[in-house]
Amino acid sequence: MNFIVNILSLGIPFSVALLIASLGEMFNQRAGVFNLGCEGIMAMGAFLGMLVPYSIGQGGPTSGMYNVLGLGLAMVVGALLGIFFAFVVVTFRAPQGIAGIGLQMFGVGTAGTLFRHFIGGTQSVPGIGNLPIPGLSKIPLIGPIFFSHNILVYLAFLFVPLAWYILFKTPWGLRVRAVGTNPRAADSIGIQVNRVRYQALAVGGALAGLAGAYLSLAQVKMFSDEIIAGRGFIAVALVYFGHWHPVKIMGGALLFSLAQALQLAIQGQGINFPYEFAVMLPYVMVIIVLAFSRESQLLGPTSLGKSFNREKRV
Amino acid sequence: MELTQKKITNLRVEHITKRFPGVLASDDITLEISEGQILALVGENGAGKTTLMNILMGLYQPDEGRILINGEEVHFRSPNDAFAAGLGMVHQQYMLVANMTVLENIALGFKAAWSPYKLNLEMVRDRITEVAKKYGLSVDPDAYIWQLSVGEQQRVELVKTLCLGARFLILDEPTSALTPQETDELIVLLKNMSSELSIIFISHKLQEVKDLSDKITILRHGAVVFEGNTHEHSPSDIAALMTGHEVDLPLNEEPACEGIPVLDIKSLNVKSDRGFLALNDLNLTICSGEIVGLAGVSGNGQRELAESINGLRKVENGEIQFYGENIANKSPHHIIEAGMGYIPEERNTEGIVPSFSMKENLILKDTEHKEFSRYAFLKNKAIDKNAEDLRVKFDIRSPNISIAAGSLSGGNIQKVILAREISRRPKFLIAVYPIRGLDLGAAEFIHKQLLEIRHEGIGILLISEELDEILDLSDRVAVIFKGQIQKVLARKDANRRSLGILMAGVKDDQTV
Ligand SMILES: Nc1ncnc2c1ncn2[C@@H]1O[C@H](COP(=O)(O)OP(=O)(O)OP(=O)(O)O)[C@@H](O)[C@H]1O
Ligand SMILES: [Mg+2]
Repeated sequence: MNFIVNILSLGIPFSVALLIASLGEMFNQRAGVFNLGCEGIMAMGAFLGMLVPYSIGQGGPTSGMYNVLGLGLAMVVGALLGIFFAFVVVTFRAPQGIAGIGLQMFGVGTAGTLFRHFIGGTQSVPGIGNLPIPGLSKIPLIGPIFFSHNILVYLAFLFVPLAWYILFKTPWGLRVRAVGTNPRAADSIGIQVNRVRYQALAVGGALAGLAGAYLSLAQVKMFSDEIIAGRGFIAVALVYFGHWHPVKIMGGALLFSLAQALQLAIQGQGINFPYEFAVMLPYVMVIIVLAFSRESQLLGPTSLGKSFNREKRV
Repeated sequence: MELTQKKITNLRVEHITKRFPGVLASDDITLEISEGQILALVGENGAGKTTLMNILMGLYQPDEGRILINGEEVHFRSPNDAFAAGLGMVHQQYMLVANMTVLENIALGFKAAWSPYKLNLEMVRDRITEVAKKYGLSVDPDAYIWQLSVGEQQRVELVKTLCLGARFLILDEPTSALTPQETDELIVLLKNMSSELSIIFISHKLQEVKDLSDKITILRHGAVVFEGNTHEHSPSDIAALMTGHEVDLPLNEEPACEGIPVLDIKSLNVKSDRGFLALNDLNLTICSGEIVGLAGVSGNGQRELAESINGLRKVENGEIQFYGENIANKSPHHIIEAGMGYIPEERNTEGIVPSFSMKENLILKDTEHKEFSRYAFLKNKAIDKNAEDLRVKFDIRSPNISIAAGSLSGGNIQKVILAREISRRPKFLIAVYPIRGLDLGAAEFIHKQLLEIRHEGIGILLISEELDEILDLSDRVAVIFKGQIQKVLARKDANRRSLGILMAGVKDDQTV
């Protein structure tokens, strides 16, 4: 029983970086653009998020303000990188896959270089502490699993219904879905296709930046070159996995993270199981579920990856 | 964007020229239309009608020329500018987002329902109900577009444009997929509306043009070749002016041939996209060398029948015997190899691959055949020759054979599909609305082709809503109603009246 509680209470905060990044990627893809640069934006976010409390708040008492500033900076730069990406693939219609890989390398490389310049070595920050919810966190089993995390965990899960609402119940969400599915139709009815794509990419970038900062400030509490460890790419995969729907994407993020927590627990418990296979577990699980989940192409953004040119019929 | 409520008393385009790579789509066009007028714009496939309208809507920028509203020059940089001036358009290629509902599609253009944090769908719903009531066009606001037939989608397009409140209507082939009754109703509706607004109406059905319009303009190769008052010309005059020769739709006058049954459908049950039984114990037998016309109001199972015969839709139970083999639930590849030809209803999604070149689309079903490939390589010379021959024979208007099929005009895309399906000489052909969107000259040619392959012994199932087309070509006429064949009539017993009664669901014609 304890073992299960451990896995769950470990897996849930693990899922947050993936969840935030993939919800951001969901807005990108719903608008018809996939951003493989997510990993790079996350790396920048992780570095910048930590830089603020590390350099300003150094030595002094940990002030939540610096953490908020760090998160804010990560989001602003993330949004700017998203807009830069839009400039390349929306305005100049560069192929999205290649441009995304470029952005990924740019982000990871720049973050690492700046890190060595401004911080260097393994420096940790106090980061964002846990905020057990009074009362609720005392409930046996439920309390440690759901109500003893840092504040970003709660916010990230609250963001799932919010993302759903934005996507399906607001005019902006409607426009995003339209330009990702049939940009021509959206254009003919007066929607500015490229503008909506810029907006979606800015939102997606901001969320990727936030996800990165979550890793350096709340999960690992330090920065290293490998801090993102492919989560940006997993986030992109989770969007397909979740059929562009926030709730299913959350399911995917949880599944992956719980498998990861299980994998760590197996290693930690000293169970006699080759660790190489344990490490593979989360990835294998995602592949299996992907293989068996039914295609629902019809409901997804059918113009994903295609740039829009009004005067060209195809 | 401020919507002006100013009336459009006069709209004029002057010297509009528009070039696409290899095509002069608009060639120095000047036109004028005043308040309360209905102008019919007619012309062969690829004449440049849609292009000119897209320029009016701000979707294309003209290379030369200008647009004047009430004598003042306007510049439309996007459809928003055109909407603001009061223009609205029903597009030939429907502008609908497939994975959204009818309601959402209309909300997309209904800016009054957009508050920043909430989409006021109820407001849109009220507006749809109001428009549907006022104009007698019924649509289900909660249906997803992908669930709708082409005819239903066309109705949604119309409702959408009416909901958005245009004061100058552009209708690009708005009736091509409507039922005859709906068409008649629309014509009456438009006539009534013309007292308060102006309309540009594009159609290949000259009877409609005659019934509705005040003035006619004919385009050919992008240029205006004729302008006149409608009441001074008969439909056949217009046809002759348009095509340059007398048009004479051929009739099937040969005796019903006595071939062997080749397609034998037995108690077929198939579900629709929405999950209910669209075909309910349907039985139908067709022989080689005969044309069976399937008459019926669209939405009675025509689409499901065509798709299930071609392996594109699951058969719940029942048999489809094709040359002695049950092809129910076989793969489309297997069915094509067995000799089935298919002209689908959805030409852009099922008939062609829009981004492939025209010549590639013309061999899409035969890529593995000896004629076009050897040792896994395509024989480019043979493919080019095939495309050149078909382009000439079927009069496909395109600058060259390597152009992306999706950039052709609507009617020419249809010709590409027809050319492929007819020239491959299948053993049997399912033709769904084969002349939809074709100009009269092309329709005449296609009908001749269908009669010719019938003569060669190919059986044809002709699905159409045009009773004239069915009566002209069929040896026998089957009437479909609610997923069942009401009755099969011999050609001599089929006429507009007897079919109309059966199509409305009255089975026993003794009672009428
Ligand atoms: N975006 C485009 N790119 C390239 N060529 C185009 C484009 N739009 C139209 N054309 C070409 O311009 C010509 C006129 O096409 P248009 O669609 O205006 O014809 P149409 O009169 O509407 O024909 P139809 O009756 O078949 O609909 C065609 O040769 C077509 O291939
Ligand atoms: Mg057209």
